[in-house]
Amino acid sequence: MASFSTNEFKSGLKVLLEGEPCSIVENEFVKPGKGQAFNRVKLKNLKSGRVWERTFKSGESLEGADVMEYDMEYLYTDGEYWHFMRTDGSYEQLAADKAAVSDAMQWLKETEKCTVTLWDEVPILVIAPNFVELEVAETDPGLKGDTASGGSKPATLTTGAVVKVPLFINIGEIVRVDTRTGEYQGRGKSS
Amino acid sequence: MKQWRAQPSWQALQARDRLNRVIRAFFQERGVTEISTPVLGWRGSPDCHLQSMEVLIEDDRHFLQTSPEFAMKRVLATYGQAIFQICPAFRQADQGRLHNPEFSILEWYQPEFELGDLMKEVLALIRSLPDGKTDWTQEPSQVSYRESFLTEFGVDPNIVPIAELKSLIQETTQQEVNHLGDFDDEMERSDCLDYLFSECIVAKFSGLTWVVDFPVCQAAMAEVDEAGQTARRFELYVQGIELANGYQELTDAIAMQSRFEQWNQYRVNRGLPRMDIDQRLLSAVSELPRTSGVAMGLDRLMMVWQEAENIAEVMPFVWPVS
Repeated sequence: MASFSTNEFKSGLKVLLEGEPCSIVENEFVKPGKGQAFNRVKLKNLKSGRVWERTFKSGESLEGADVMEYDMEYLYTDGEYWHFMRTDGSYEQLAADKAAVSDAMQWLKETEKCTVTLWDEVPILVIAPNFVELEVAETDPGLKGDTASGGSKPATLTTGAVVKVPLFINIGEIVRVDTRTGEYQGRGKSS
Repeated sequence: MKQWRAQPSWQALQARDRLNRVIRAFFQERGVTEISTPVLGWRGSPDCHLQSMEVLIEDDRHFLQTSPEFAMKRVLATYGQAIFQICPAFRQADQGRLHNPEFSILEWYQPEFELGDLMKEVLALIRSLPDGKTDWTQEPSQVSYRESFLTEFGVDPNIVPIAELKSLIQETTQQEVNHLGDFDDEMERSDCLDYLFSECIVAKFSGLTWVVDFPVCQAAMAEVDEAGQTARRFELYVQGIELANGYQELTDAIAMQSRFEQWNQYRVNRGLPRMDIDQRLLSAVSELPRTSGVAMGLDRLMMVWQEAENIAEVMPFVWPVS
């Protein structure tokens, strides 16, 4: 893999820092008139999602990371691995471990289209679609006719996620949820 | 996008033209003579943080100037007259929002001027620009480099151990600091001080701000006061952007030579090649009148005057030139 010098650190560049795959978020060159030149760099750790802010000596270089992002369809889980299939016609299948699936786990429904980040061809991060439609598996009984009052109650979805829904939602209904915030968006189109 | 085209607006180039005229009129009125010295010199600056661009002429190394200081001091030592120059300067690798490897410097020397007189003149020049910013008319704030270390961090910048500066950096900054070395010399001290100063003090600057009373390790080519505590040097910041750098010029050739030798030692410590000392400059230094001098980044002045976010908005072509 090629290495990249601080002046090639463009937003989106994938590099290895302390053995971790990172994406450059921001890079600013700083040169005081009388001092050491440096770069103030923000990097996102692609495994943990954590953003690092760090200074580099100008001219220092980092090794590039072989990181690819694919659109993939979620197939099933065997309890240990979550299996995905490429949607580009190759039908290539990959298994992601618990650490890679992490937060996305609670939103995964079969045939859901996800974004899977691979590092050295191993999945390290699964991002669920921004919006998912899931069935309510468990919630307190709905209040008939109460479609206006603003109250809410917790509902457990078939994937195990718990979201706050309005009082009128019943078991078996499909709800639309924003996976980035975990917030209820409305009744699903398929309900 | 057509690659060959200049990027800035025509208005930006017209503004630069106006800036040059204002500067020339300002100095003409004050009896300061415009000179032109070669941009290519036989010696570069030994400052370890300045990387000179080299030009090979029949195997002889020459250097594009990082500032016109050496040549102008030789002219000043010859004639003893007030002089100014608008010229390009070159610093390898410096590129960013506020940096381009080739940039423009306005530099001038006023014999008989003390540092305070020169600061007044710098301010007058900036205020003479048409359509100036409203806060330029206000009295600039003044920050003492030395005092801010004593009050903000409780340490004397000249003697605080470098290790203590490094722990201060760890405590006070949000980011992981990885660019500082482990050379344990006075340049390392200067770099640590500079980083703390820019992160904790300069970051709060607004409007026009003078920085004075620099620590001794940042004396560069400026005089040190009698007590040996501070360098007689100033910097002017506009909205936190460093715009000008002035010295009460060191006229002691022996002291200058030992500083140059020290700077070369810093180079050696950092694995950089030594820079042969410019003996012609050293001879001229001993003949200098008492004088103060200042260099101002003209592209940056353009930026703050024209409210540009990036130096590329005020230069027809930026690096790499294609």
